[in-house]
Amino acid sequence: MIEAQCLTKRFDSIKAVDNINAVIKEGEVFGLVGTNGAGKSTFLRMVAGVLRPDEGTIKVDGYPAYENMDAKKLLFYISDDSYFFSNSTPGDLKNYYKVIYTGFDEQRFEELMKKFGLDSRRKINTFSKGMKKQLTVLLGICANTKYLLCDETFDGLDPVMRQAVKSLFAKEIAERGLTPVIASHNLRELEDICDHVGLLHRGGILLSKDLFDMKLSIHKIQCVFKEEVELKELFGDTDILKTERRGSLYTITARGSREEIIAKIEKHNPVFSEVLPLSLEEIFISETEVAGYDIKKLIF
Amino acid sequence: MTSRNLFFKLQKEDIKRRMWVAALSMLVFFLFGPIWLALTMESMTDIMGVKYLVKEMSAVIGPGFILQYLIAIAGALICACSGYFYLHSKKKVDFFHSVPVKRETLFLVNFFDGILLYFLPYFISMILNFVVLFTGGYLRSGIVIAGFQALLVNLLYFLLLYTLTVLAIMLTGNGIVSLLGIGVFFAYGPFIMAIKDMYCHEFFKTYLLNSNESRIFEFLSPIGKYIYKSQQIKNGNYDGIALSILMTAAVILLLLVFSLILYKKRPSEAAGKAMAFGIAKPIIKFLLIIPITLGGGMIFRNAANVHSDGWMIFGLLLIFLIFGAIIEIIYQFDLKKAFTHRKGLAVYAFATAVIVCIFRFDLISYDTYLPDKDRVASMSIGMPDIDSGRNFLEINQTGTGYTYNSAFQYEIKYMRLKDFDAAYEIAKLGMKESKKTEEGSDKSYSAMVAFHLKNGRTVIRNYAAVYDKDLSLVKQVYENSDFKEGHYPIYRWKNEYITSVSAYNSIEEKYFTLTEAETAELLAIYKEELKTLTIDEIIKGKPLATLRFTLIDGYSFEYHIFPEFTKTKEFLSAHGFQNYNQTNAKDIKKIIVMKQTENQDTIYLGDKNINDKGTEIQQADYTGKDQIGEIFQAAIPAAYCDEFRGVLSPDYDFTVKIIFNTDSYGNETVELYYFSKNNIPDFVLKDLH
Repeated sequence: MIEAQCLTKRFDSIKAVDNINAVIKEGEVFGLVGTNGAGKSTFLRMVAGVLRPDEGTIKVDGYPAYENMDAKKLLFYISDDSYFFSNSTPGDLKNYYKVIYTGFDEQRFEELMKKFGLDSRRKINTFSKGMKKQLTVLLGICANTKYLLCDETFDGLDPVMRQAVKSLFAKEIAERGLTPVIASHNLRELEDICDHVGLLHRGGILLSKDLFDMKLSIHKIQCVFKEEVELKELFGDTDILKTERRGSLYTITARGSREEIIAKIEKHNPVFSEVLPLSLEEIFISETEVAGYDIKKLIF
Repeated sequence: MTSRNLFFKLQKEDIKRRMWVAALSMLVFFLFGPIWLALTMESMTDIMGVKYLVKEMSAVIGPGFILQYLIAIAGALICACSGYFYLHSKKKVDFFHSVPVKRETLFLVNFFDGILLYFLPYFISMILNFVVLFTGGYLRSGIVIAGFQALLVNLLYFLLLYTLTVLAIMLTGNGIVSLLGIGVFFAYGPFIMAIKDMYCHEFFKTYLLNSNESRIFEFLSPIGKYIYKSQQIKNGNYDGIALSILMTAAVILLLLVFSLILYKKRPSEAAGKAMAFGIAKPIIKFLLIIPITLGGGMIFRNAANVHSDGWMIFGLLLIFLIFGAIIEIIYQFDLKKAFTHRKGLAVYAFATAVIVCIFRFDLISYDTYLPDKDRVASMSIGMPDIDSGRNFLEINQTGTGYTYNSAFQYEIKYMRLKDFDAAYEIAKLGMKESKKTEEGSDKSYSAMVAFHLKNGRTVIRNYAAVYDKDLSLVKQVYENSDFKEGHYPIYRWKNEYITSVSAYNSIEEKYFTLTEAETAELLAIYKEELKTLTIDEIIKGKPLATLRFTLIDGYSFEYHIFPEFTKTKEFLSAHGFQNYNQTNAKDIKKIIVMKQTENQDTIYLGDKNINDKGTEIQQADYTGKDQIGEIFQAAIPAAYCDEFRGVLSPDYDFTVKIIFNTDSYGNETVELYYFSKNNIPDFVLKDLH
């Protein structure tokens, strides 16, 4: 488990991370979303033990992260702008990581390189941006660490490769309980892979929620009533997050269980009612609007 | 995997990444090692003699080879920068600091690899050097020893330069700033000493410029020390070398530990910033801005040779503001922040002003300071006007070369006057004279003194004028045998240094064929008699002849034979030099006395007796025997006059040209003489009033 408590990091007068509390559980995919400058990379660099927090603590499986070998052994950090030794080949990097990570799976690396169509002997500086991203992911996977910290790793991958990487993650999570922490400015990228999402804004964490719980606790319903109804009366103590009316068609986003919401609508004999699926984006819009933010300004 | 295994594996990986440095290092050492040596050997022939050949070979592979200095300096920069410049890049820092390797391991892997990249190619090239020498038949134990000495001294100073470069990189976060930092570490000491020298020379009347003690280039300069120590070893002078090696090794170790601590403390986010540690910023600014401002002030003061306080203040203000802004811009990478930290600027300005006042108003009483007599262990004294025009070359301990000294440098090194009452009095007189604003008596001499204190310190002063009424003090000093031993290099010669001896005067020149024992005897006799020579004897009599000793490499050193040197005369007579009779007045055909008078108001009108400098020249010719006799008795040979002008007080306004009778070969000899100020014949004064 990665646990951040009251984590703060400043760069001169700029507060890059401001009093963050977060828990990243083992075996789940943690997505970290936020705009550029929200503090995602700084947070990941602190988890990776690169940066020393100014205030608060960050622990990896109970070990303080900064310059602690016990913590670092559990992590593989893929930076948003990865460094490759000049004139090196993937084979050279493999040899380097073999020295660093005792559990590095050389055979798996070679297999994956073939699967992804990457040449181990080709100079990395001739690789495209996407190929470099793939290479870093493969190195990270083969390092066999418990946590994989990915900073904007999916940025630059084509949809096919993105899917391939996601499948790879899924397999690793299933087989050995890998915990990827994926930072991205693009919410849609994380939708089908993350179990838990933390939203960062201006260095602070706006919300951190389990995606499944969020999906179960927020619903969007479209319905038409014969007569005029007072929605507040209809829903009673159920938390309505958003309502929209076009003629007699109501679109309501409300917090609560699906059954509870349907039962309340059925009580008023609707002409038509339907529960619509909510995208992660819509859930976030709803959640952040409740919190008083306009997420469209934060992310999109 | 054990940590030792990890260390070596990381070393291997690091070397792989720095293969270009290894290749460059191998190439350079190969070119300037065995190839250079082979070329040197090609240019030699056996007739040059084994000693010479060994000397030449040793010069290539031994300590003090100039190319080795350049290789060590460039090597230190390249090895350190290639190992640690990743600290200036955020993405590289993220890479290296995120992997599960301790920072100290990362640091030490790079550190030792940097050393290996210099040492291994050097060592291999040294072995190849010996192979080349062996195949050429020149391999001698002396060369092998010189080779290993060079290896040791070059490696030692490479390490010093290397650790300093690493330290500069640790303190900074940007490549350009790192290079500036390296420049500061390499040159700060000499720069500070140069500024100090400039201020002392400008404001202290008794300050001696370029004295042995200041050693500007060597002071706190790794490169200066490197060159100085290499030359010392090359010259076979091992005085203090062991201690120096130990001290240097200790400094290297300290620098290494300090750099390692800084690396551990260094925040990763320092990459790309000017300085890695905020706390270092004001300290470094303080250390730079003050000497640079002082230097700027002095340049303005001396511009156009005006020595103006006004210009100095202007220069101080201008350079202070400009340089303060430059440093702040470098720190902040922001032009708008050029004048931030105003409180700090005020502190620096105050400190600069205090330093300027100390020098300008001599607040430390530099010029009037004399150490208490009971604190002085011994003294050295140099009097430029008394026999100091000779060659103060010092023969190396190996007897294979020379070290160049000024007269006073030599005296500071070798003169220790235990009985220093007279020398102390001279210093006192000089100090009193220095307080006067007007010129003192014209009968004065200059003196440089070094007080060797009991606490090991040496205090040096230079007195431009010492008014020593009847020369009693200078007489006492000159007659002190410690003075002679510390003043005349002959006392440090070994018999084997002397390759030939000759003697000459205006009548005869004789080259002697002496056995080693005879040379030793002559040397001993002369040294003994020189010790008894007094100032009165110098004033009273002219030298009868001059002894010329030729030492290694053909350098000649001349010593006068005075009438009182009876044993020397007897020895030389026994070996064929007989003509001690001085030139006689009857041998003189004519004497021309010229008097020159400075005449600033004279305008050059084409008159042949007025030269273009506005100096009026009068001339009187004497052919009468009596007049010739009187003039000849009073005149002193010009060269001798120059050597002892402090006690002979020549009147340079009068030039005496003595034209001798034509000899049997038809040659006419002309010699130049001067009069002492108080010993000019009346008729000459009358003729040239």
